[in-house]
Amino acid sequence: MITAQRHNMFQQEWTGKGERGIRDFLLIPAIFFGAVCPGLFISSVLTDYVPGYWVALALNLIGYGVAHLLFLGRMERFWRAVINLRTSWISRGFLFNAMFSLFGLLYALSEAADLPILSGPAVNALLKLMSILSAVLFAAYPGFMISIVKAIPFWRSTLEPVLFFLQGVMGGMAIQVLLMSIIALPGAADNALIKINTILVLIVLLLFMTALVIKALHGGAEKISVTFLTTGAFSPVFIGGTIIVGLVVPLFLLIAGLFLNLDFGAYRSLYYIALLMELVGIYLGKYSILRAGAYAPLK
Amino acid sequence: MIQQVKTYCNQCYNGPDPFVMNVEDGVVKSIEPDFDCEKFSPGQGRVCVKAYGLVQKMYNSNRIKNPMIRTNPKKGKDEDPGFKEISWDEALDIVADKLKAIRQKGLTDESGYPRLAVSMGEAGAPAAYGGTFPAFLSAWGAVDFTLGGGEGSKCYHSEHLYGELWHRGFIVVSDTPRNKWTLSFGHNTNASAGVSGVMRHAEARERGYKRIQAEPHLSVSAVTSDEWIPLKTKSDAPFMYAMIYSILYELGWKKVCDLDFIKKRTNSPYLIGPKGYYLKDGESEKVLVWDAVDNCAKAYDDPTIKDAALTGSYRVSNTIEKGPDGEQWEYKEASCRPSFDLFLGHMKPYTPEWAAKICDLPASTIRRMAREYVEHAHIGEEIEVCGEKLPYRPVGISLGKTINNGPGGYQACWARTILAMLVGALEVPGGTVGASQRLNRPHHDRWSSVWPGEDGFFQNFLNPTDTERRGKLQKTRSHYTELVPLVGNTGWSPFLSPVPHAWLWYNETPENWSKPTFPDVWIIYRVNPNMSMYYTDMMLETTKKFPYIVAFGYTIDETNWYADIILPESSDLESLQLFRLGPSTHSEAYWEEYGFGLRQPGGNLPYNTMDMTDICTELSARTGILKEYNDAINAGVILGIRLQGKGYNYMLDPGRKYSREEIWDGLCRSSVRLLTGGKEEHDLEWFKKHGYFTVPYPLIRHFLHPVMVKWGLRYEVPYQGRLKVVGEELKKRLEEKGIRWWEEQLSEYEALPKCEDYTKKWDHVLKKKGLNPDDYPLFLINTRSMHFAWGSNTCLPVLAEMAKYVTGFGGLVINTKIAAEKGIQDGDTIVIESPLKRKKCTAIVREGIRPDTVVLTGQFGNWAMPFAKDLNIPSINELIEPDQELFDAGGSSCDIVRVKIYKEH
Amino acid sequence: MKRWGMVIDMKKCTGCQTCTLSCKVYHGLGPDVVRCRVIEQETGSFPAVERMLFSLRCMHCNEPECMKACPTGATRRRADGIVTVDQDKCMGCRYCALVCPYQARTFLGVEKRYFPENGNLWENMRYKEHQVGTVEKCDFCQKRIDEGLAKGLEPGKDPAATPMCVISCIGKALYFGDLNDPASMVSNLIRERKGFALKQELGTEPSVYYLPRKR
Repeated sequence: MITAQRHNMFQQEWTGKGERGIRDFLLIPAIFFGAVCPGLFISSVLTDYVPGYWVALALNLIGYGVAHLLFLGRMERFWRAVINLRTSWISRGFLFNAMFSLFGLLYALSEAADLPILSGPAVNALLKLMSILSAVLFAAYPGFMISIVKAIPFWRSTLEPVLFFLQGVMGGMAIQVLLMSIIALPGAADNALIKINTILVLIVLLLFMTALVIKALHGGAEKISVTFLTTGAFSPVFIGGTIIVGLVVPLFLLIAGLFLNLDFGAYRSLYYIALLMELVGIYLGKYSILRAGAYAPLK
Repeated sequence: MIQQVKTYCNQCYNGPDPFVMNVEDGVVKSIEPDFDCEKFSPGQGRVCVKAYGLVQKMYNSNRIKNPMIRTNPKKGKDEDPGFKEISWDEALDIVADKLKAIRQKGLTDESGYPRLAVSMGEAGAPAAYGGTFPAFLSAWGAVDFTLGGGEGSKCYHSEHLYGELWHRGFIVVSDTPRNKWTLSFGHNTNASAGVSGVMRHAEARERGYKRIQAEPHLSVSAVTSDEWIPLKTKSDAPFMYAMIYSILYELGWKKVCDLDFIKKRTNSPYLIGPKGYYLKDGESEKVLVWDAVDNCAKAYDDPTIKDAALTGSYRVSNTIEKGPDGEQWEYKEASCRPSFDLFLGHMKPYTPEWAAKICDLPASTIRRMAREYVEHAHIGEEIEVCGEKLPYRPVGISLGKTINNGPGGYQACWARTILAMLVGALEVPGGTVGASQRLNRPHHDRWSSVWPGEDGFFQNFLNPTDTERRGKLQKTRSHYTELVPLVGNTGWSPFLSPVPHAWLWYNETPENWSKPTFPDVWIIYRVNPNMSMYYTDMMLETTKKFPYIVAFGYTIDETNWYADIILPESSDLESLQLFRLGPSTHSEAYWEEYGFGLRQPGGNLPYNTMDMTDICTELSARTGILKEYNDAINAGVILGIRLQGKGYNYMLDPGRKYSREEIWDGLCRSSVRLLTGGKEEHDLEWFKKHGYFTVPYPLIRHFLHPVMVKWGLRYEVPYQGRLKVVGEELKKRLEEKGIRWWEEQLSEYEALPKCEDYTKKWDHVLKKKGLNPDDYPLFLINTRSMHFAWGSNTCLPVLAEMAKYVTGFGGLVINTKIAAEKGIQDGDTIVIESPLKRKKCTAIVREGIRPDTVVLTGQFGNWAMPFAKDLNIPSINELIEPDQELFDAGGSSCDIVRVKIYKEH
Repeated sequence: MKRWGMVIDMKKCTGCQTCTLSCKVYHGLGPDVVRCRVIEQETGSFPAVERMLFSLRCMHCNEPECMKACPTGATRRRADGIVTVDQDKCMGCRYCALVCPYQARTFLGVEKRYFPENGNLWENMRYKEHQVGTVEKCDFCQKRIDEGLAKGLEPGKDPAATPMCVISCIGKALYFGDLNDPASMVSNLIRERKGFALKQELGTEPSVYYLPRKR
C-alpha cells in the first residue's frame, strides 16, 4: 500500500492551478460548450429550429472558441494546432471544430438566404449531412482525447466518447427547449424533445453507473478516481452535482411530469427546472471527470 | 562567452569540495562539478545540493546590501531595530572605536572575562570563509569564544571528547570503502556526511556491504539501509551493552573475539588494584600484567610476556596504586585482577532480555546483531595498504547526534569502542576509525597527533584538575577549563565547551558560582545562536542585554535583529581565500592527497559587501593592531603557513596595510613551498587558474594502528583508569568550592560505566515539575536534511523547494496509528505542546516512525529572517527547556523533549 | 544510430535532490519548475516500512505519448532518441503534460520569481531563456551532448558532454550512454542488474531504466 507519495496523484494541467487567474480555469467551460453547442446544433437542425443552430454556432464561437483560446499559453500560435492531425486529438478536435463551424455556417446560410452557390436541394442536403457529421465528431472528440490517455487509467474507456456525445446532445436539447421558451416557433414541439431527453438522461445515468462500477472493480488508480468522486473529497460535486442534481432529480421530475396530470404551466415549470439542472450537472460532470484523473502509481 | 572559474564549497565541515562557476558578463550563471580533482578529492569533484544553492545565495534579493547601524536603542523581538544604511568607512570607524575603547580599558574585565566575545557557528566551517579573521583575533589577544550557538549540544559531543581520548577520533566512522557491515545508531550519513559520505556509502551498497540503521524513525539514511530497526530513542547504549553481553557470554568471547588485539593493544590485561586504580610495580612504577605462562606479574611493556592473562585473580608483591591528587598506596602484597576480568563481571547484568524491554524490541534482534557483527569481523585476516599488511576487520558501528549527547552518550561511545575492541576492529582498515582530530594537533595528520604518554597509552592534554594549574587558565563564560577536563584547552576547546551553560548562568546562577559578565563587544560570525540554541525565548531575553553587538551579516536573522551594527561580508562566491584541502575533515572525507585550494570571486559584487580579509585588515589598522595582525599572518596563524622559510620570504611589513590579493599571494606561494619542502612555488594567479595544489598523502596514515604498533601503545579501553582519577580530582575541586549541582555529571567518571534506561530521566524531569509524564507521551526528536545541514541556508527559497521532496521538511512526522487515534490526517494543522511552549505545525503522517516518537526536521521557527519567517515550521529549540539532570559530563545535552500533540480546534 | 539513455541505480540514490537543483540552476529555472526530481513512495506498515526513491525526469520514450498528443509539432523525437520541445512552436495546450505517465513536463504559466519585489540580477538574466506560456521538460541536456560530440567527446564518459544530473549526482547513481550499443555501460548495467523501465506496460518504451534496490 502506498502511504505517502510526493507526486501529483491527480492531473492538474487541465483543471487549473490558477497561476494565470481565470484563464487557467477556462478549459472546463470550453469543453462544456464544445459538447452542448454541437448537441444544440444537431437537435435544432433535426427539428428545423432555426434560432437553435444559429445560437449553437454563436455560442460555440464564444463559449468554446474564445474560452479555449484564452486557456492556451500562447494563443497567437493557435493555428499551429492543425499540424499534427495524424496522431493528436487536439489537432483533430481543432479540425472538427473548424468543420463544424464552417459547414454549420454554410448550412445555416443555405437555409436562410438565397445564395446562388449554396442553393439547391442537393447542396443543402450535403451541407446538412456534413454539418451534422462534423457536429457529432466535434461533440465526441474530448471523449476520444481523454480516453487515449494511457497515464490516467480512469479515463481509458470507449464509453467516454459515447458519454461525451450523449451528454452533448442531452444538454443541447435542454438548451433548445429553454431557448424555445424565449423564441418560440410554430411547429416545434417541446413534448417530443422532452421525451427523447428523458431517455437520454436515463442512458447517461446508466452509463455513468456502469463505468463507475467497472472502474471501481479494476482497482488501483481507477479505484482512487472512483473513490475520489463517490465517497472522497469530490463526492459533493460529482454525486451531489452531476448524479443527483444533474441526472436523478431531472429524471424524476421529467417522468413525474409525464405521468402526473399537471396543468401546462406547472408541467412546463417542472421541466424547465429539470433541464436547467441537467445543464448544471453536465458542467459539473465535465469538471468531475477531468478533476478525478488520477495517475497510476509509479510501481 | 562563458568563463569557468574554480572555487570550493565548505558550507559544512565535510568540505572543502572544489567546483567550477560558469560566469558570463560578470554573473555567476550556474555551477558545475570540478572533475579535475576527481582522482583525489573524496567527493570526486562533485558538490552537494547546498553548493548549487550558492548561486541564489549570492544574488538573494533579501541580503543585507550595505553596512547598517541600529537606530532604535531599544532591543527586543517586537522592537524594530530601525537599521539605517551607512558607508563602509563609517561602519568600520564605529566598530574600531568600540574596539579601541576595550583596549584602553584592558582586554579582560574586573571579573577576569575577556571583554571581547566572538561566536562562530557551522561546526568549524566559518574558517573557510573568514579570510584573515584568525589573524585579527590572534592579534587582538584574549577573546571569549564560549558564547556559542549550539556547539556542545548540537554536535556529536561525547564522541568528540571520548573519541579523541581513546583513539584520536573527533568523529568516529566506519572505514566505509573497505567495510562490509555497519550498524548505525542514528548516524544520518545521507544528510550530514557530505558528498563523500553519500558517495562512499552508495558505492559500498553497490559493492554489497550491509548497513543496518537503528533509530526511532525512518530517516533519509535508514531509507537506503538494508534494514531499519525501529529502536526507541536513547536506548542505544542498552542495545550495545546487550550486544556485548551476547558476544561475551552467549557467543563466547574466547571463541569469537580478537584475543591478540585485546591483549596487546588495550588495557585489558592491566592489573587493577584493590582501590580500583592501575596496579603498578613499586620500583619502575609501570603498570603490571599477569603472564599466564610464567605465572608472574610483569611490566606491561615487558617483551618477555608470553601470554597476558585476561581473567583470574592474582596476588602481586611490592606494588603501588596511584589515586587522585598524587595520593599513593603501597602494598607488600596486593590482590588484583586484570581489567578484562572486571569488565566481564561488569557486563553480566546486561542481558538481551534486559535491553529488549528498554529498547522495545525483541531480544532476538539484539542477538542477531551481535552474531552478524562477529561473523563479519574477519578476525585474523589482513589487508595490504600502501604496501603494508594491516589487520582487516570490515565491521563498524556509528553513532548519530542525539545518541552522542546527554544521558547515555558516554555509555554509547564506550560500548561502541568496546565492540570494536572485542573484534580488533579499532583503527584498522574496514573497521571503526577516527576521521580526524580537532582537540589535538596537528589537525591534518593523525599519526603526528599521537606520541607515547603515561602507562603505555598515548599522550592526552586534559584540563588540569589540580588547584594550582586550574587557577592560571584564562577565564571564559562557559568555564570549560574548570568543568570539563576532557575538552582540553586548544583552539577548538571553547567550541566544545558547555556552551549552553554560559547562557543559562546569565539568567540563573547556580549555587556558589559567579554570574558571568556580558562582553563589552560581542562579534557574531556565520551563526544565529538565537535559533540554533535551545530554550529560544531565554536566548532572546539574554541577547537583549548585551551592551554592543557587531554582526557580520548576510541577511536579517533572529540574532542580528539585536545587533548594533551589521557588516555584510562578501559571500561564498564573492570573496578570496586559501584553505586547506584534506587530508581529513570531521567526517569520513579522508583524502589521499592534501594541499591548499583557493576560493575566489566568480562574478561582480551584486551588493555593497566587503571581503572578510579586507574588513579584518581595515579593522586591525583602525584599531591600532596592524603590526600584530601582520605579524600573526607572517607567523603562520593562517592555516599554519608561515610566510618565510628556507629560500623564500614573503613576510608582510608589519607597518603596512596590504590588499587581500597581496596577502593571499604570499600565502599561496608559501603554501606550495610548505608542501614541496621549498622546491616549488605558485602565485595567486596560478591558483586562480588551477584552483588548488596538492601532494600525495598515504592512505595508511588515516589508520592509527600502524603508529600504535610502532610505539607499542595501547588504547585505554575497556578500563577508564585515567578518567576515574580525573573525575575524583574534579569532584574534590568542585566540593572545595561548595558546588553540588555538577554531581550528576561527576557520576559519569566511572572506570567501567554502568548502563540504565535513560528515557526514565525524562519522566523524572517532568515529575520534578509537578507534571504527569503520561500527559506528554511522545518523544520529540530532531533530524537533519542535507539541504539545511549547516550552511546557514534557511533563508534560501530554492533549498526549501528541494527539501519539500524529502519526508520531514515542513512539519512534524507522526506515526499513522497515533495520528488516526487523534483524528489527524496528513497535512492537517496540529498543535505540538511541551511543558514549555505550544506551537502550531503541519502534520506529516507516515508509517516510518515509532508510535512513541515524533520528529521535526532542521531548526526553523524563524520570525525575523526573510522568507524563513513565512515558513511556519516550529523548531525543537523553542520547545526545550534544559534541565541540569539531562546534561552529561561534557556539559552537553540532547535534542529530546517530551510533548503531546492534538488537532487544532 | 545511437539512442541516448539513462540508467538510475535505486541502490545508490539517496533522494538528496542534488540532481534536481543542479539541473534547475544550470537551466535557469524558476520557482516550482523542475526538469528532474526524486520522489518518495512509502509502502508497508510500521515496522515493516520501505520508502522507495524514484529519480524522475523525461523518459525520452521511443513511443512518446507526449509527441503523439502534441498538436503543434513542438514536441519531436530526434533520431538519437532525445525528445525535445521547441518553445517557439508550443502553443501551451498542456495536453503533453497531461498524457505523460511520468509527469515529466511543467507548464510555465507565468514567470514566477523567487524574489518578485526586486529586479533580481540572476533572475533577470536567466528567465529570459524560457518562454512563458509553453511547456518545459528535460532534454537530456541536448546542448551539452551536441556540443560535446562536436568536440569529439563521448556522452556518458566525458562530463562536458553528459547531462548535468548525471555528472552532479553525489551517489553516482546515474549513468548515461547509448542504449543501442550492447557493449555500453548502460546496456551492461541493464542486462546484469535486471534494469527495468517504469510503466513499461503502457508501451511507451522509455529510455530511462532503473536498477532495483534488491536483487
